[in-house]
Amino acid sequence: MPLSQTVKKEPVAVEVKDLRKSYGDHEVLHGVSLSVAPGEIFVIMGASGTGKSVLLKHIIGLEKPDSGEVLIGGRSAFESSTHRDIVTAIVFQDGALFNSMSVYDNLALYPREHRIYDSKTIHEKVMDTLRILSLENAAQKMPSELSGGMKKRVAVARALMTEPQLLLYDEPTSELDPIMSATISELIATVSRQTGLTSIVVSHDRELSLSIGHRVGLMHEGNMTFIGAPDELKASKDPLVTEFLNPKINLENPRFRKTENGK
Amino acid sequence: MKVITQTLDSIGTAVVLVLRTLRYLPSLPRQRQRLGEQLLFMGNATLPLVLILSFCIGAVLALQVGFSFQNLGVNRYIGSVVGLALVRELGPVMTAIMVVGRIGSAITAELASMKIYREVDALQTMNIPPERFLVLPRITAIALIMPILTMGSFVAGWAGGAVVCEVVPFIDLDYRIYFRTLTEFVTTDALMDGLIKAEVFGLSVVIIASSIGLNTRGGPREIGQSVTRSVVASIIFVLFINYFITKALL
Ligand SMILES: Nc1ncnc2c1ncn2[C@@H]1O[C@H](COP(=O)(O)OP(=O)(O)OP(=O)(O)O)[C@@H](O)[C@H]1O
Ligand SMILES: [Mg+2]
Repeated sequence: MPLSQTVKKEPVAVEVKDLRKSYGDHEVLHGVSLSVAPGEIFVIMGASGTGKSVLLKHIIGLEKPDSGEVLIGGRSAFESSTHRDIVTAIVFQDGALFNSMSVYDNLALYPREHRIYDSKTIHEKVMDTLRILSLENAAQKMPSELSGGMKKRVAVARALMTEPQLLLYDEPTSELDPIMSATISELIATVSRQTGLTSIVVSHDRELSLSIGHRVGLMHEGNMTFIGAPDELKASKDPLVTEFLNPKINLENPRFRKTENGK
Repeated sequence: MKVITQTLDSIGTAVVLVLRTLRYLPSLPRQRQRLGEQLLFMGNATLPLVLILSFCIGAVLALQVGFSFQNLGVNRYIGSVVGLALVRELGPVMTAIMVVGRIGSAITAELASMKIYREVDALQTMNIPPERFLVLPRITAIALIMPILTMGSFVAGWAGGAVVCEVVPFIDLDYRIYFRTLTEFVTTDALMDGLIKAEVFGLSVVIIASSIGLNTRGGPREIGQSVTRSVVASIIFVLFINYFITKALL
């Protein structure tokens, strides 16, 4: 696991330029641009359905855009050779664990297939990683026997096992209790500091975003409406930002009524 | 018209899948654990069925031939008829149908669900090509197991015929004579033809099943549809190319 035996990785930068993507006639990304510095933790926040997951899938190379560019370390994210030369990993929003493999095998798959370590080292790293995420008792369980939050942690553990240079997290702390959320936030920050990897974290978790994010981007309907340091975000007077960070619950004039009446 | 373009499209997809998979052939030794698992699964799933089914087919065949031959005085040639029919047609085709039902359907269901639940995406992001990890072990396993299944089918079918010859009163043929004419007509060439046929069938079934499975999109309902499609397409394909292979091998 990267925490016990840390290898300094060549940090990579990520550059997203005017990315557009439609599914059918529904345009999801309306020209998103952002740049993430090597080693940075960039947090993306935004309402449900604004295209955060779609953006991550473009960066990891699973989706091709209609137009625009994503560069990882200066190379196109849409070429599979880029992902072969630069180790990139993603924690999927729904985990995407291998359902016919035990938790242990889920974690051990990457180093085994790529023959990165001998089996003894792999065993140590897997057990270390599981321990850090309080999963050591789940090693022999199958994914179907795990709770939602445990699956999430296994997904994080599996991504860490690849020892990536760029790690994308899609809502790593949703479904977790506050203490486990804090643990994951600390883990993201620690791994980033110790290995120098670049992290892009999609999260609604205010605590996480404001404490570990070097910069935060707010996505709104397929655009990046705000990018800045956590302090700037907190100080922002932009109504989109203030509304998103502190939605007032107003029982006299509920939101769903407003949308019903066409705003 | 749409059916034709769709069929051509599926064939193209399957061919591309095979070519991609063959590229990873050198990495086969690293997949030996998964290959072992597949061999075990395929053998367990089909061998008993193939043996029982072929035994019954051989028995019925001997009964029919014996009935037709009963007043002609050519009873001892039952062995050659049963033997050749099994080796040239019934053995390979019956085995292939069993493989469709037990292996092809399972492969499509498994790969389709891996695709829909994003496991295939996860493999891709881990730089583990699904062709190498999922398809290669299955294709290799069927290539290795098909000759065993087919030989099993031949032997069980011959035995079924022999039992009928012994016990049915109006046939009343000694099993030694049955096997003498059988070995006389079932030459090594005939055996090889049968085994080649079966090998082509087995490979086609697994390729069709994998291709349809990996190209599934949608949700749980589409998994079911893919399995049905895979079974129907495989059976049609097997019976269709059977004619051409037979013609080529004659
Ligand atoms: N494969 C797809 N086909 C069609 N539409 C899609 C597809 N993937 C995503 N979309 C659409 O794109 C939009 C953005 O989806 P996305 O999953 O990126 O949202 P999100 O910002 O991650 O939301 P959440 O916070 O709820 O996870 C949604 O309207 C969704 O319906
Ligand atoms: Mg999402």
